[in-house]
Amino acid sequence: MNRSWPPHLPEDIVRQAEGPLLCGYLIALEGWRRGLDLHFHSNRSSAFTDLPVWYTHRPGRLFTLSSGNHSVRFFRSRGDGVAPETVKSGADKAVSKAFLEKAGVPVPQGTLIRGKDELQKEADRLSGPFVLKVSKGSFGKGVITNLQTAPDLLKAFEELKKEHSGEEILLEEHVDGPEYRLYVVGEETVGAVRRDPASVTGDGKSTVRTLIEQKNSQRKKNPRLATALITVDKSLEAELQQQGLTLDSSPPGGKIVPLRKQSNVSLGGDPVDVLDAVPEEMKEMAVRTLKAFPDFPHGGVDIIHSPERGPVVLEVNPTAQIALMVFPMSGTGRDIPKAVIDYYFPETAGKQRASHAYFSLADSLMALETGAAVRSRVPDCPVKTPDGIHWLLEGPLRVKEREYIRTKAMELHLTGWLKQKASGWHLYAAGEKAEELGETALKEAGSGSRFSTGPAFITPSFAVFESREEIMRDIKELRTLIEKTAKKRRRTETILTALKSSAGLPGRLPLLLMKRRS
Amino acid sequence: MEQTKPVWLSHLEGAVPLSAKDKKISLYTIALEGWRRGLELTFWSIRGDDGEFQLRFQLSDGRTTHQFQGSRGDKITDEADSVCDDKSLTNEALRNHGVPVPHGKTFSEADGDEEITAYALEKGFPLVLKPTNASGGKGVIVNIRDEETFRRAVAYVRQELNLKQVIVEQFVEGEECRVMVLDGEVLGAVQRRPASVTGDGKKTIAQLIEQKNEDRRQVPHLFHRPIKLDRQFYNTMHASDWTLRTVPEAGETIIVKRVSNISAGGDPVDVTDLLSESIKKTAVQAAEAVPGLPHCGVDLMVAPDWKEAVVIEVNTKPGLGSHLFPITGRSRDIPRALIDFYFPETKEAPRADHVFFDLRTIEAAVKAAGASEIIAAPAPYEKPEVRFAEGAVPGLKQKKHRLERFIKELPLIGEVHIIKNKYISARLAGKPADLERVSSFLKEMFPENLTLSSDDGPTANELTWKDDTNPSRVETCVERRRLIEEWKAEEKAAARTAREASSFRSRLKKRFRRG
Repeated sequence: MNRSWPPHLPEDIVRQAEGPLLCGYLIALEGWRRGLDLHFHSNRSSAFTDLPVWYTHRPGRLFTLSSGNHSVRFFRSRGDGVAPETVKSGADKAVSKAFLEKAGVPVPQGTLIRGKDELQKEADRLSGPFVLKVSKGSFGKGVITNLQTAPDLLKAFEELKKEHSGEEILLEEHVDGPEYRLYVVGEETVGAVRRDPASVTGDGKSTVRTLIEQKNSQRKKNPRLATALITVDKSLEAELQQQGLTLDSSPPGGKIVPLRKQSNVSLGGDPVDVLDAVPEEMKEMAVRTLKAFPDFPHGGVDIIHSPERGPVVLEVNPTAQIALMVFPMSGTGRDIPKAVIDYYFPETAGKQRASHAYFSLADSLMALETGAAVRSRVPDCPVKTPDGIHWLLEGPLRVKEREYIRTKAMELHLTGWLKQKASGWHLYAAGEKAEELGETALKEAGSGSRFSTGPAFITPSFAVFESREEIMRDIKELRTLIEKTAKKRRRTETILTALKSSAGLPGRLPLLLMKRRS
Repeated sequence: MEQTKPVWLSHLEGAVPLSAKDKKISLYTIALEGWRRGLELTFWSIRGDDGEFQLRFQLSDGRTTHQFQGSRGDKITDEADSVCDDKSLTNEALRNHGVPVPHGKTFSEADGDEEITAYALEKGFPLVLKPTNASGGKGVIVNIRDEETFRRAVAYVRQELNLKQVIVEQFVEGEECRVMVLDGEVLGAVQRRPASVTGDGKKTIAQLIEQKNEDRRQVPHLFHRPIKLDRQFYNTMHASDWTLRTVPEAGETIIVKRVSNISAGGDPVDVTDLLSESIKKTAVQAAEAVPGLPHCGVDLMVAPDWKEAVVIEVNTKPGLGSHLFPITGRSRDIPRALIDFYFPETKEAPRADHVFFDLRTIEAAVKAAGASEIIAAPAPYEKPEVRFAEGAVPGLKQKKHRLERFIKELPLIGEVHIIKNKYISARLAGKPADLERVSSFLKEMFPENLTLSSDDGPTANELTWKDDTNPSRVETCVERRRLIEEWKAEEKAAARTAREASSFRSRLKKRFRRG
């Protein structure tokens, strides 16, 4: 597939921050690489009490970037330049709509529905087909599209009422056309993806089930999509059924089989970069959309492009996912984090960015995970790109050897890492005495080779990256190791005790005893 | 010697986590005292000689900030520190101030061994030889009684240890004692007694040592400091008629090592009430003799009648463990006095004595270079209530994720253990209303087999989630780090024993070759 992602955000670095932490990590990394101070906060931190935030029981979503006395608080991709009221308005589709209508931004016609009678009345006034939405829903939940007939509409309404009791429900005309997510920073649209609903393309042989598996393994290679796989559920099977297909059908080669109605990436949708292809008119509309709200300097805009009506704004996202624009399924990945940091810290724009540096997210969040700390500062970003040496170590590297290499690297004041990859353990070290570490490591590993010299991505100090499985194995191994060492010591002690009390024995007897027992 | 039960500070009972035991007692207890008074506690890292990151901390009330390194606070000047670091400078300062010190002379690198020996002979035995700038008693040789021993000692310290600058001093008969002085006042005094066991008429020395080591694990700063069966032990045993199989009589105290270092198995004993006014005055004067030294530990050699003393050494960073957790006597609350001194306006502040913080994740993050500065979560202002829930509950596996999120989103502290996806044990502390919410949630989720009760006692100011079938990354990382340290310590001990064995073997060999 034809795609190119920003070279300063390689996959194995950003993969440290999967799922809901990814967008925040991208922004934090960009600021930190420009020399800004980066602090992560726990939800016990008093610094965020005035900002709307959610699901903060796991750290990584709340952080601050600062330089001198200028400090910006972030919740995921959203900086504190976005007003709290705007965040609240953005979360409510009916309120958003009112703001947009007032500013003259085209939106689908529609209104809040309080009961069945009103539904009937409004449906008569508008022209179908219709969409019913829970006003405060997100992630594509609580949305039923393309309702053609009155009974369908009524059934859908009852369904939503039941599943989202107490929530307000919005009736809108159904606008048909490709869906877009645009990202605006200041006066400019800096990213645009078309969101294609989950689909697979037939090859004439494979079943739909196999095609989904193939698609998922492709998605697993994408930092954003790895946690948004296509899941086979009832609605997916119903969608297939409508097309006269089942999971075991084999669609003909080249045939695109849509799997869902909703285009949400979290439901398996494909983000395709279209920044250079979308019309200027649409980009301008996105900029105007943000201006319709108080203090909304950056955020996402969902637009549907109807062949008849042109672009129509569906909703706004003050806390938008930016990763799908940085790592689209196809096309060019856009540097959204750069634009956001340029906006908040214009004095750092265009200045040097330490694009080679990164930090271990898990290690930086460690003290926040249990709530022992409220704030944790990431060590300063290394400014220079030192030339280092890269080795591939062969043979298993147990905890004992790894710890030895780490200790040595610290002692030699080197930067770099030891990383577990599919191909084995990789060691990279930069600094005056890198060679010395390499010698140690090769000895510890048994064998290996040096395969390149030059710059690489480095951490502020020396970090060891291993899988959780590896760490759990280490724990088991260490327990055995401690047991063994203690046993050996106790044995030597016993021998020594026996010997010391038998030191008076004649001849070579004590010596022989010692030899035999040790 | 009769062992009476010591009286420890109730607010430190159960409040020293494993991560703070042994060498971090001073750092921890001072930080804890400040933190409990509502001061902001910030840790940061500095790089040690071995290149590893080490913890430092500061306390702040928003206006004033004070930094600490172990028990050394920033009111101690660098000049004071360098005076105390060099025994000859310390001696000079003490003598100039009229503080009694042992008579002696400092020799520089340029002086020859002969010159030093000549001085010794002129001075007369018994004598002490010590390097001027070594710490932890390294190279200090006491009670030298003849010329031959003295010559060997000089050769050992100056050549083998390569510590050229030495002091020769008269050896004062008496007992060593460490006095903590703050702002012109004596806060406490401890003595280290050589490792000993007391018989019960049944157990062997080996069994008694094992039992004593078990007791030592109850003492925070002795947790990893058992009586080891090392060379010093054998030398002591050898000099007497005892073996490990000897059964001492009931009440009989056997000294199993001659050296009294805590790390060698020695017992810390509180002797504050034994100090005479004159000894106290000497200790206070010693602190005053060094400019810029508002608090310190003064090492004294006390005369056998406990009336007078001479000053041996002054420490800017004395360990507080022995003052806080003596094996006999009463705890002296040095951390409280230090925080009173550094932050006098917090003297009357309410203290959150029912909570403590754990260093394990903070230290792990700093050591892994994941964080260069960490602010501890503030102590809860109100005394939290504590609840306990446990039971083998059906459906735990399916419900545990929902439970985790529910509990973690509430401002609660404590520990939740999920064992084999079947058994839950939760001890949670927080505001009554939040605990009530958890209780009803638990009752609704697990209507069967779950017992709920109220609890008491100190709680760590964090929420630990331990799930043995699905351990979190942070728990596994922290546990691995702890095990690595334990393994390294065990390796070190094993190497020491191995060295011991090999030297014994070569001594034996030599003997047989001769014979």
